[in-house]
Amino acid sequence: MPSTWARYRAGPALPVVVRGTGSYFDGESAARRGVEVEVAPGGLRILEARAGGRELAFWRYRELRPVDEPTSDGPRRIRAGNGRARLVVEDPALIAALSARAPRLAAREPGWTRLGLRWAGLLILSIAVLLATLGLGLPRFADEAARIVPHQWETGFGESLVEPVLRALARFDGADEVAFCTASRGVESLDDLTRRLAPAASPYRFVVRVVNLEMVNAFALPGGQIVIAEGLLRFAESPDEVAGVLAHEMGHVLHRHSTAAMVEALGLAFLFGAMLGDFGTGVIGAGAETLVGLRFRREAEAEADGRALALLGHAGLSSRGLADFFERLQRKAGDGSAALRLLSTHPPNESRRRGFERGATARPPSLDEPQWKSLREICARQQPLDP
Amino acid sequence: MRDPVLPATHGLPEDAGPAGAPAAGRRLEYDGACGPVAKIAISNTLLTLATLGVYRFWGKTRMRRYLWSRVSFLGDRAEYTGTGRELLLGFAAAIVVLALLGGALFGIEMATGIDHPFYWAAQGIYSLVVLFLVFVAEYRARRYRLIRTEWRSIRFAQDGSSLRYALLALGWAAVTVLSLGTTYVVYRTRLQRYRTTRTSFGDRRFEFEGRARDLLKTWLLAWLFLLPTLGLTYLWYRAREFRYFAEKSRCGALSFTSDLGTGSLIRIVFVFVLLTLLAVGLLLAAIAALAVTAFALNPELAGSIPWANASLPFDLGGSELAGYVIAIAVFFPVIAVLRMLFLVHPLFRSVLPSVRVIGEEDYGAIAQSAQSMPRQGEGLADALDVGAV
Repeated sequence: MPSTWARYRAGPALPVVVRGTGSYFDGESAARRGVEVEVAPGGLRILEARAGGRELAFWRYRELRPVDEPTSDGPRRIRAGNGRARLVVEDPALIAALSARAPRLAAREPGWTRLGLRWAGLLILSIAVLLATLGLGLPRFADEAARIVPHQWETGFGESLVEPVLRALARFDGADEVAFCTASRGVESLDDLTRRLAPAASPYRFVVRVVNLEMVNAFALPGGQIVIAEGLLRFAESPDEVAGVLAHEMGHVLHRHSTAAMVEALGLAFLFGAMLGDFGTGVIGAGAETLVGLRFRREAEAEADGRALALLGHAGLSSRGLADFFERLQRKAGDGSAALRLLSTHPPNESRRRGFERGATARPPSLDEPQWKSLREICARQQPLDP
Repeated sequence: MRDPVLPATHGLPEDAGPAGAPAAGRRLEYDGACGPVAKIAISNTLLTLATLGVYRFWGKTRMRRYLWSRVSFLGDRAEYTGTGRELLLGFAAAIVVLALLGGALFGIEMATGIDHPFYWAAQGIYSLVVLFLVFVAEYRARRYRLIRTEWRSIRFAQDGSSLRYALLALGWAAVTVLSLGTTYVVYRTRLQRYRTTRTSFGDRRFEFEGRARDLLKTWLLAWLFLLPTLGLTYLWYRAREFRYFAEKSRCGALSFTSDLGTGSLIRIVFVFVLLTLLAVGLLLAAIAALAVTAFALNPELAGSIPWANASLPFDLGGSELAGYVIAIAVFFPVIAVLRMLFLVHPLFRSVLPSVRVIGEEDYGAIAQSAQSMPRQGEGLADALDVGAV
């Protein structure tokens, strides 16, 4: 095969006229016509296969395209541009003559370098689009969407989520049965603390409850539902630590973080489903929701911290407890794998600690000694969830 | 095995065409090979992973171009003329529809809470709507594939309304459920009739004369032994149904017959299921071994998982996440390749050549139809994963 340069110079003046036979389909009817194919200057002539047959088509070489991916066996199908007609040639000499003139017919696959570059470009582009969507678009959209959700919706939705979520947590904690802790003096102490922390002009009515799970954990659901695990009360060394965690969770509620996270999870599940074409099974979507849960955002934590400091300050309480709590939490978590810590929602970090220290002036404890004792014994009486 | 149910049309219909036509008809041919199918399937899967799913549309197109080009009749090959871009556009449009639906459901969920009866009602309606859309998608996908299929430079086509098709399908599906499956054969035949009689090749329309009652005994027999035979009788039924539908279809002067055997279907499905289970088992074992090793090397890994969430309860730790990543990155590609190589390709190889076309047709008199070309591909079908190939 001549080089590109030689082909260019020789151009239409290639002297040899190659003729051969082929089958032609004109795109108008389903007839197969035997044709004579002539490799003429400038293009390919398709003639009726009889003496003095008329010209059926003239295809310019640069318009010629292969119909199929190149293979070693079988006939070659050719089209011209986006035309409907098809020409099938089997004669190797004819195929060679055509390939020499029509660059797109030359039967070779693109080299690995070109393929690699093309796909690397596409990969980078798609990752960029994905990251932009996940990192910027989706969280903003979720925040905005959460802001327009009416408070009553949040309240109703949050209430209906408490039990399913507790059951899921219980399974995770390995507990057979999950129950609300209802010892009356403990409940009174907790309510007292809640009342003092809750801002006066809040659209939410905070419902704070303790459950008999051993994990050191607390969480907030949309609309003011806050649940504290008994393990957290045991782990806490002072009532101020509990007050700090409670204020932090209230911060999440007031900033509507759970609502936004749920909108975000839904959006992400949708995006992943869209990309992988998996709306039927939802497996991938569920995975994506998990991902978003893990990503419950750093900014959200900072916002909740900030709100917690304000609430504590307003209630005349010290933020020392919150600082102590997270510090000891970090020590207990130890040096777990870096990847897991990266995914954790409460990253132990210096700036957070310094934030707490600012409000850590000496103040009277949030609960007096008998109250604190009663709170720690709140699980003396339990009321199991309906099975 | 003699066929007690089908009328005696298994051989030749009366009008086998003018004298001189091959009496037994001409077979469809398929000469696809495992090598190229495997090559395309593997590279498609890898590129789909690497591009986070975007390549899917072009991969599908590439596979179809290969498969279609290996189907021939009277020595001339079929051609798939669809493009990846069309599939992508159709998919994007479908996403919008599904997003609106999903958003509406989420709004109701938020407004009522998830235990409210109203929510369950909405959930039910949503499921019905999605099922309806699956049928719409199926019909539209078939239309796209037909219009993008050519033989001798002439397109196939399908008209009719996808909404009416979906209503018909939903109605007969409901009847099938209520009758505990006994009227499944009516559902199959009605839909086949709707599809076939709205299919055309060029300006020639297909006709269909099949009636559910001809297949009823076959189906009831299959239905009766469905559970004891672990579904094998379903394949037996499908083979017979295919032969019956072929014999009851016509296109101009051409009629069809098929000698598709139950045995080949069973063999294909059996090999595919076996290989899939084997592959999944091996992968699971490999992953378990890796996980055990990882935890043994670093015990704190296990201990630290509960700490992954301290505020939001919806993430239950990193282990689930790892599970999903593995599912997407390992199982999905392996099963996709196995499915292409051991299910789709073998089905092409045994189903298509089972079909013989009987009768003489003046192919020069078949003209291109005027039906307009679609600008978008299968859309919904892609989003809902209805497409077979």
